[in-house]
Amino acid sequence: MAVTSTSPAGAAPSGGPAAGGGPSRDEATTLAALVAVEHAAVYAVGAVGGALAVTGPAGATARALAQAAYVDHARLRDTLIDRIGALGGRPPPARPAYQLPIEPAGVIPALALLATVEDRTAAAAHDAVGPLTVRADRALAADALVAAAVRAQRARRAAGLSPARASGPFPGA
Amino acid sequence: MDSPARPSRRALLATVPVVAVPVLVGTGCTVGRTAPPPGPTAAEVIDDQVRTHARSREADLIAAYEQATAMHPGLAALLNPIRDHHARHAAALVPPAATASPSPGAAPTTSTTPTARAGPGPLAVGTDTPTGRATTVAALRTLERRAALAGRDACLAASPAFAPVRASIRAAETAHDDLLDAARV
Repeated sequence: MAVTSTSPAGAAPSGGPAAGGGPSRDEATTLAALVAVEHAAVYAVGAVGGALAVTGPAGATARALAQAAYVDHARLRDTLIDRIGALGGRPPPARPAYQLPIEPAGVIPALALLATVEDRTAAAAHDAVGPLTVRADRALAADALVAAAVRAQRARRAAGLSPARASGPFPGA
Repeated sequence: MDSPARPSRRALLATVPVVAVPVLVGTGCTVGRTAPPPGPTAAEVIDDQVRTHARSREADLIAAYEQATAMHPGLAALLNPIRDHHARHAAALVPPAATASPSPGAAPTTSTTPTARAGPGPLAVGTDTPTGRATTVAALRTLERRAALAGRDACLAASPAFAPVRASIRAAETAHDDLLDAARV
């Protein structure tokens, strides 16, 4: 994945896997990658909500989408953190701030940022599905992929994109 | 697996490098690569079953969308993109050529984009009225939800290599249901 290399902890320690090794370590490592994406998603969606707060009635639909997305991403983040802890791992902490790929200055850019955030969550969830071997963990990632795909499509439709352009055949892939 | 309408995710990540996911450098998309795969024979059997069932559903969905568009031409802009997604799904569900089918005689079709089955369509015949269109869309939504529900269990049973494919198809099916739900017909 294209990531910046500015991890405050340097190497593996933030999000370090379970100490014991083995399947639990692999499971925790996979979930840690997903929670890192969710930290960024929560930040970005919160920024969208802030930007949309001043858009008045024109931004009402986008605000509702951002609010729902914020709740969903925060819940997923918390679920992942709990699960990583249960596996004996250390979930990666959130950074103070994240650089946004799109400045949410206005309703349409805000919706574009929402869709981009969901695409990234879908991609991370998609990549987590295969390595996760515990059924409940794989279900968590697979359900996250579904939810992100739906939210991305809603954001694009709200931005006025046609059904043909609002989503692709293989979300996350 | 790229959408023809949008840049692929990989391209997107390459050209839009920062929502800044700053940690876990060096793991990323390769995490879990050392996870032990299940017994290859069992995984192949399960994957083959998943593919077979999912391709059957895709054929039904393609037939349903084509029937729906024939009954309601005004819905083509809504329905044709979804139909095209299902054609892509069907193609992705054809077993890899290098993998021998465990059941002789059940050789995969050589067509990667199957068309609708012959005979009457899977939908009830309706008139092109608002009520008829709503009935058709509701029936399509039911088919999508059933496929997505089956896809959840299938994804959980499939091999690490194939599970993401089925998970992604399921996500598309759920998105189709949502798209149809929001459509004004």
